[in-house]
Amino acid sequence: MAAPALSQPVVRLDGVGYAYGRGKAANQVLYDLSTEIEAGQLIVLTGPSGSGKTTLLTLIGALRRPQDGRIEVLGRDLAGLRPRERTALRRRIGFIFQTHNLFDALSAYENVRMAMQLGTWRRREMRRRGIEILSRLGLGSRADEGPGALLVGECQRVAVARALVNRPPLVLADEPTAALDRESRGNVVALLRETVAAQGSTVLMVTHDRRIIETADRLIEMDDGRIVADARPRERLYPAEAERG
Amino acid sequence: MPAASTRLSVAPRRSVGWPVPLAWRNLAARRGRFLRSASAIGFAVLLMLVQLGFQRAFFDSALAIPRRLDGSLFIIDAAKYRFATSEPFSSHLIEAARQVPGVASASPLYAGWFDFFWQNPYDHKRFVVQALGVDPDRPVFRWPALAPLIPRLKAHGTVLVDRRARRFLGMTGSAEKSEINGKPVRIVGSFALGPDFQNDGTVIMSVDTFKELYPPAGVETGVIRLAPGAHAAVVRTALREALPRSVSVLGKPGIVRLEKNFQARVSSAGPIFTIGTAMGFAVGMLIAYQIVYTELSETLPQYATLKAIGYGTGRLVRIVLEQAFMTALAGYLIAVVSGIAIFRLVGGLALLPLQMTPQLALEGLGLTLGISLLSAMLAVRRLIAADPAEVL
Repeated sequence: MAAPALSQPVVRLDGVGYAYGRGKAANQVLYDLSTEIEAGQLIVLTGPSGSGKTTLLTLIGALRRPQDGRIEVLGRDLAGLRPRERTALRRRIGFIFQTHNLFDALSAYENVRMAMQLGTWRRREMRRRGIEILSRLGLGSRADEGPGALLVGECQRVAVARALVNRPPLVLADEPTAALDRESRGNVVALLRETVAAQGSTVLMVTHDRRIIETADRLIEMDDGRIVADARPRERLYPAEAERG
Repeated sequence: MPAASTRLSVAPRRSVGWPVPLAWRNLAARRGRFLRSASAIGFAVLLMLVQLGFQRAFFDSALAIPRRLDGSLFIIDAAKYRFATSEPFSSHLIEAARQVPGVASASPLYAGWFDFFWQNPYDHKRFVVQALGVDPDRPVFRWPALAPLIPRLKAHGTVLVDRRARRFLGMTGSAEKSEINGKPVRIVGSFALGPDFQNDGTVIMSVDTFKELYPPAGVETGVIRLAPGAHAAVVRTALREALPRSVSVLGKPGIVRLEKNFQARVSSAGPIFTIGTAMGFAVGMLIAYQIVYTELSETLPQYATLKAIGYGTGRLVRIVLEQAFMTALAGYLIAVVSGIAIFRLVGGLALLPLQMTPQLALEGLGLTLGISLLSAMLAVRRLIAADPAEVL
């Protein structure tokens, strides 16, 4: 797989449109989106329900086939990828879904290890790395317990660990902290920030949580399938302060 | 961002070490359900094993005598379509066969299946039995337990009885006298053969006694032994040329094939058992499909998530198939153990050679794997169609 050049954006959208259904029944949800996302940033994607945020995440995550426009992710044009190549590309992306979807039959560590099996770990490294990331999320002592014994928020943190354990260059997160209490939310955001800072990863996160938005490097607002604002969070949240500098 | 760039340029390699045994863990996590699923599949497999077991018993019991015949070639009437049908031929043909080069001995086997009425020595009721007439000086059986008893048949009016015959024949006791076709016979020993689907019991006597009890008797089978160095195919050709077209010359495989053809084309038993087995297979498939489908439905979001994070569909299908195979194998073990118990019980009651032979167990295993593979392949379409985009 060809690696993007140093200055190449992690994600590049050029005139991206998307519709569900076909013909007269087609429901256009994205219109002519164009933007670039550089490496090493935590970017928040926000907007009202139905504005197309999740659809855009699924397109960037190579979970859907692009229709109109051009999408480049980690240096690959998604339009030209065969199914196997799309699957391989997804291995380099960390996904955090709204629902944790952990296997009840597996322990927290084993659920994380399911993702590690797709990575590049040696056997000895696996347990150490799995426990390390679970510990980082406050679950080190519960690594061998199954989802049935964990609270919903703890399960969501396991799902975060699963997404980040392979140190992906791109993380796509859809409301990852919705089910978390304040402390857990802090842990997750700190870990995401750490991922950005230490690994140079890019995190693209859908959230409405103002406290997370405040910590983001960039805020993209969507409405009715279009990007309506793209700025530093301070500029959007505190425009007067931002103007004063 | 150097870290990111370095990361992006790393050539992909795969993690090493044992993968998480997801299929097994899914089963082990719900032991009660696993046991119920395995038992349900086991029931269907048991249905098939019983059908196949009965079919085999039907077949084996019909060949119990032919398999014990001590010869390389056999002369039978050309119209004979199975061993136990009465199509006698003249004893002169046995004499003629003895003259053929390469024949060391030709011995007659007389047999009757519908003309010998045995009287139970205890309650004096009469029943039709299988009767075999042999020349005591020209043994036709390779049957070590019987061999020392054959010389006793030289005495006129003596018979050997089947101590494994059905009880109502009264052959199991210590009676020394009885009657066949209204004429007195003396019981001089017993052998263990057992009934089959046609005969409840068997008596063996000399050719002379046989002819006296049933005067129209004729030879049913000529048992040919070859001279040392003689080639069976050559002798067979010579016998065909020397004997009239009204008789056939077969090897032992030919006799077995005759019985197989009878079961497949003439007897209703073959199709009945085959249909029974097919029904067991269909029931098993329905059960297995339902099990896999339900299991898959409950874990579909998890599998779709794995698809989303980079698991190939083939790898996930393999996990589902593994799970289906493990359930089916557990069901198979339950079925084999139950089958052994049922065969012992029914075999003992019906006195039939019902046995869980390695071949039958292997056939059952093949059918079980077929059930699980086909049903899982049908159910797994749901997994293949699962859209990882719907998870996000």
